[in-house]
Amino acid sequence: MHAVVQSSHQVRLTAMIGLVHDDQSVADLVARARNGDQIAWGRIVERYAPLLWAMCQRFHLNRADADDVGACVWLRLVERLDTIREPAALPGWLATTTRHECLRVLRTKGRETLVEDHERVIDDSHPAAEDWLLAQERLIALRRAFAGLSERCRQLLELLFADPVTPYDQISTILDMPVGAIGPTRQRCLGKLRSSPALAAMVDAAATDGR
Amino acid sequence: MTNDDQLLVELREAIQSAGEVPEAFIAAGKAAFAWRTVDAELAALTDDFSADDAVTGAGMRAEHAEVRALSFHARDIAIELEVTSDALLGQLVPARSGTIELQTPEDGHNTAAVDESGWFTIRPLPTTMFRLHVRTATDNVITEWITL
Repeated sequence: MHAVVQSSHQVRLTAMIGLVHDDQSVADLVARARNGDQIAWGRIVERYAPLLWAMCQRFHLNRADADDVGACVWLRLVERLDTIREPAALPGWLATTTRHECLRVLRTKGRETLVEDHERVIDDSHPAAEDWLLAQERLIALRRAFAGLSERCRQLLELLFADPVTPYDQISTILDMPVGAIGPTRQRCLGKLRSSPALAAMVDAAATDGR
Repeated sequence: MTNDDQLLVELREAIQSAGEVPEAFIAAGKAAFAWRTVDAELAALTDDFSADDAVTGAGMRAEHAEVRALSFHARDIAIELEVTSDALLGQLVPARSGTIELQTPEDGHNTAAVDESGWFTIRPLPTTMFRLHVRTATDNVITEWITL
């Protein structure tokens, strides 16, 4: 019984973030959106909306203000779609634009003191801002890599990273998998995750960066 | 902690943080695509002057809290804008007649005439983000989105 509850919870989590297999480069998506492809635009939004949302959370915006910021940023991207020269720089552009919109919203609400604090903390050129963006890009890459895994790998990994961790005997029942196979399967699935193009590109970039 | 354990922790964060994003937040982003215009040329904001800033900078108090002037430039035409207490006053440079349409994401459209001297007035002041779509005999230009 407990196993069933656990399982349905896991399914809901994945469904909630609309996890779709998404192996297209951002350059491809931008090119397709330029040609009026609404689905490609939807993929761009799904991929990067968590970055926008996370930035709004950093500024402690309430829900209405975050919605306002999000709408503004996406409108600006729609308007610039034809003039983006380097789609790979899109996450950086989105982060910067979202930050500016967050500051604008705080300013119009007269929360100047807060804005000053934030400008110190979240200065565009500050190393912390760059680290934050890199961390966000890694989360995006992880989600894409995860979505590209087989259904069975995704089920197993979701059970393993659940909080609290699902005991192996329960996993065995849910997935109809011998307990002894869980460890090796986990290793194999994580190996696949690591070698997925989305994540491998990040690792390469980090290596070049000396990180 | 092994590398695999570490990766699982990261994976949890990746999936959970995306799960916290409200559906409506994503839906609004998708809906923004409806505002894509392919036929109009984009006029970029080239100047955004606020008298309040200038006066305060000189160590004086402004009598009127806000006087704001904005300039947008496209290839063949500029749109000069002044924000008053109750209206947007503007001029096309060089002067041409036509129409100007105020667009806001929620409230839709509000069209005003541009006279022979290129002048136009838009009332009331937009309270949300907006852009202006200018049509003359020779121009089809849209400004970038701005907020007052």
